[in-house]
Formats: sequence, structure tokens, C-alpha cells
Amino acid sequence: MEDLTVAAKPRSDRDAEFEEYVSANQTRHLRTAYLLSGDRHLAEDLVQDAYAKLYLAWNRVHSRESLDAYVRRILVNEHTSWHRRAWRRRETVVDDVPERPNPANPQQEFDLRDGLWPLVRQLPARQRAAVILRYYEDLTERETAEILKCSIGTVKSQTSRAIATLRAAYQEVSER
Amino acid sequence: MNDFESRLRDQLRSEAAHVTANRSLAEGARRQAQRIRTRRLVGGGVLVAAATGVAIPVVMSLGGSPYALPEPASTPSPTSDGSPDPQPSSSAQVVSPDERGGTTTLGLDGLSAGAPPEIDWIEGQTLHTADGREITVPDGVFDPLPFGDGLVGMTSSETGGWDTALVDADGNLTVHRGSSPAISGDGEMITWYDADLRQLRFARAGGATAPEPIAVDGAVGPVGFLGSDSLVVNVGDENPWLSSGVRRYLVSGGGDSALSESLLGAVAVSEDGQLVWGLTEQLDSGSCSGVFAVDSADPLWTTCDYRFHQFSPDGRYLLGTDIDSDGAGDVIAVVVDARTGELVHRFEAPQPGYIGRTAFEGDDRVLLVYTTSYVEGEGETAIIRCSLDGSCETATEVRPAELGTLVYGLSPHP
Repeated sequence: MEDLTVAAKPRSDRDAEFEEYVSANQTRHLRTAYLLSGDRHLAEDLVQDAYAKLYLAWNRVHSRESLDAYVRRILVNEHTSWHRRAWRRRETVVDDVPERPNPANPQQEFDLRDGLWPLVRQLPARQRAAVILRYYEDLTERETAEILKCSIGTVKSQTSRAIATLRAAYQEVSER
Repeated sequence: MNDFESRLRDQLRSEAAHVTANRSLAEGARRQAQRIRTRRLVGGGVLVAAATGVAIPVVMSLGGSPYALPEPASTPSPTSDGSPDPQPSSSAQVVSPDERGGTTTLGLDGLSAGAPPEIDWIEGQTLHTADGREITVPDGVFDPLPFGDGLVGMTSSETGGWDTALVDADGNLTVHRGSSPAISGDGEMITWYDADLRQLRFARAGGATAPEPIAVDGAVGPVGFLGSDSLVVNVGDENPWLSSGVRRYLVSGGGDSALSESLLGAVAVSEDGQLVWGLTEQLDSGSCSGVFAVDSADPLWTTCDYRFHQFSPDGRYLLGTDIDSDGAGDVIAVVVDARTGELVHRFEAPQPGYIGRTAFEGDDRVLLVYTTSYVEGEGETAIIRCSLDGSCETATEVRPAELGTLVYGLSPHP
């Protein structure tokens, strides 16, 4: 097949660069994936998936900034798609047994000593992603919109809705 | 950032700080990448066959000259009466990918401009229907399909899942709790699972009288209608997406029956109600799937290389992609013979391009949302119409790809 892409780097150079990048960033990406998924094993699967695709795309991702954006997009989209794709979800969730409180009663297992994290885990997937990208990754609304493939207005609304939900739940428990 | 938001940020960082990498993920990622590459290389081999005249299709390269739509492809192995050659149901054929067919490398340069899509398509927040209407899609509603004078889609639920969203002609939104809806082939009826009531519920376009709700045991997830009188649903104990089987329910409420025990979860059904595609096996290395004649215990064929999402209207072909996708989108789209699994054609996005939604426009044409680059400021996007021999034309204007903004989309197939 005619190769219409940029010339590939020698494998050894690419491998060395790839390993250097993974070594420098995998903890950070694992943490983001953990906050998205709420499960450490699932987070590792997500990050390894993302890195496999990054490795294949290594020669076409132009800059270190693009690398990070690319990995974030894969993490968020793959995690979201697990919620939507029936068989993929089946594939992954069987081993995913997070201690998830009953969504019908978000406050029932909430303890103030646990902080806000148990409530964050109960947010809908896209709201949770918006919160993590905005408040953990410190991305701008525009950067968050690019990763979530939605408008800036949607990022604003998803984030506002999430914050309102968290605040209401937290206050309710605080006042008990 | 107020105090509450600052506290949220601090607690997210505190929670994440417990997570550390115990091993390098680089080697595992490289091995996984090698498996993906191997599948892609197998696909590339088909191009050689096509170029040497062994197989049928034209190979279209980036920057090629304009192509007109040719006569319908005749690549699947027809019998003398023109119908596909069925496989024995007693022994499933495990299909190696790309045994025939050709590859089209997608591009936008030089494509001729064709007619607008003849099926439902999305442009920004507007749903263009096949009958020429334009409906505004409310923010937060995804995967819209025309339904009556309005549309039906999905919206995020408050519990982390998805609910059914109905939008009437005046733009009023009604949300029904329950999994994503299935719509009948004629677009006149939808069904969804109400988890609160443990019922399959129905609605007809225009508010016409709908079938009575059907009480179900466990959680179910509608997949699609089989003709007008029955539907296929995934069945699980608590979550239909963790289904352990597939059942067929009569819309009239007259009973239900199990489909093949080999079918762990269904994903698509053909409009003629004859074929079902779904998951057959879970492996450490991924999932495998197969096509079943609806009343058959054994699959017609299985694959561990592709996933599919739509049968052609006549049920003759399946449209899908590589089992792996990445953050930008899919790299390939494939059309296979639904009854044999043999490759009919493969469409490939050259790096750094990607393929978004895909759908059959007719029995022998597909539409693909193609974007030339995921790099901000560099990409262009359009809906492309391609025949099954690989020739293509644009079906919409070519526009700048705006990251984070839906420029073009295609409605999910009923």
C-alpha cells in the first residue's frame, strides 16, 4: 500500500521516545483514568489502551502538547463509550466492582470524612469527565470541550449541573 | 473558583494521589499495538490483490480524481436467484478478515459533489430527515432519530446512564427513564425499558395508540424490532448491558422466547427480521461476535476482528469497523457479507484522518463522516457517499473540522 503519511521514524528511536514519554506520564494518566472510572484496575486498562493507540499514532502526533491532548481524548472517550457500548461494557465491567453507593439514594453511604469523592463517583459519566478535566486537569472550558467533543456551552452546563448536584448532596449530609 | 470548587479540586488531587504506577505500561501497550497492527496489515494485503486485478474494486488514493457512483457492486457470492449463498447453520464458519474485497483510502481532494444524503443526517444542531424536514436537536440530546413530527434520542441520566428523550414538533423535551430506545423499521414505533416499573414500554408516532407495556423479569435492553410484531432484547439480572442472553418478545404481549444460547448479547438486527448480530464470546484478548439466523442455535459465522453496528436495508451486508477505535475515531470502516462474513470492501482513513459515524444509505451505498485530521486547525470534514466497489463522492459541503463541535453526523440506524 502506498504510504501517504509522513516518513516513519526508525523503530528504535520511536520506542525510546515512547518509553520516555510513558515513563514520564503514566502516573499522571493513571490518576486521571482512576478519577474517570473510579476503579484502579479499570484505570490501568484504560491507560494501556490509550498508550497502544498512541504508539500506533506516534509518528502523526506532532508535539508533546498534542500527545497529552490525544491521550486525554482517548481516556475520556473510551471510558464514555464503555457506558454506551453494550458488549464492550460487558467486557470490562465484569471485573469492575467499585464500591458504588446506590445511585437512587446518593447520600445513603456518604460520610463527611470521605469528602466529595464518593459523590463525584456517582455523577453521570460526562458530568464527571467535565469536572475532572476542569478541576483536576485544570483545563480551560475550550480544552475540555475539545476533548468531550461538545460545545463550550455544554461544558458550562455539564459542569454547573455537576457542581450543583455535589453541593446539594454535601449540604444535605452536613445538615443531618 | 469559590471555596466549594477549591475543596473539590483539592479532594480530587488527594484521592488521585493514592494511585501510583507499579510497573511500566509501555511494554504491554506495545504488545497491544502489535495486535492492532497485525489486523491492519492483514487488511493491507487485500489491496495488493485488488491492484493486481485478482479482486474487483478500484483503489482510490488520496488526491485522486473525481469518481462517479458506479452500478451497484456484485461482490458477494450470489446464488443463481441473486440471493446470498447461505452457510450451513450447523457449523459456524470462523472468518479470517479480508479474504476478498478491496480497500479505498479516503480523501476529500478532487471528489465530485453529489446529492445530499438520502437518509437522516445531522448538521450541527439540526437533524435533516430523509423526507426533507429540519428539526433542531436540543443540547444534551444525542443520537437523534426522527419520530413523528419530532425526534427521539438519548440523554444523560442523573444516575450515570442514559435515558430516552422525546422531542415534539414544538421542541418540548420529555425524558423517560430507561435504556436507549429501539425504533421500528418504519420509524413509527419506539420501545424502551423502564427500569423503575420493570416494563418494556412503547410509543407510536403522532400519539397513536401504542401496545400495552410488557412486564419483564430482570433488566432488559431493547435492541431492535423483528418485523412489526416482535422485538429482540438483551436480558440481564440487574443491568441489560451485562446481559447473559437474548430473548424475543411479541409486541402484543403474547409471550417471549430465547434466541440462541450462544448469543450473549445482541447489538443489531436486520430490517427483514432474519438476522441478528451480537456478542458470542469473552476472551482475555477481547470479544468475539457472530451473525445468527434468528431461529438458529448456531452462528452463521463469527469474527474476533471486527465489530458491526448496522445491517444493510436488505439484510445482505453488515457495516462495521475494527474492534479497536481510538480517541479521535475509527481508522477503518468495513462492509462484509452478512451471511458469510466475507469482506466486501474496506475504507481506510489515512493518517491523521479518522472516520466518524457510518451508515447504509441504501442496499449498496454507505455514508461515512470523514475528517482529514484530528489536529486542531488542520482538518476538514464532510459526509462521503461510497459505493461498495469503493468509488466515492461528497454528500455535503466540505467544512473545517472544529474540535469539540459536531459538524456532521449520521443518525443511528433503527
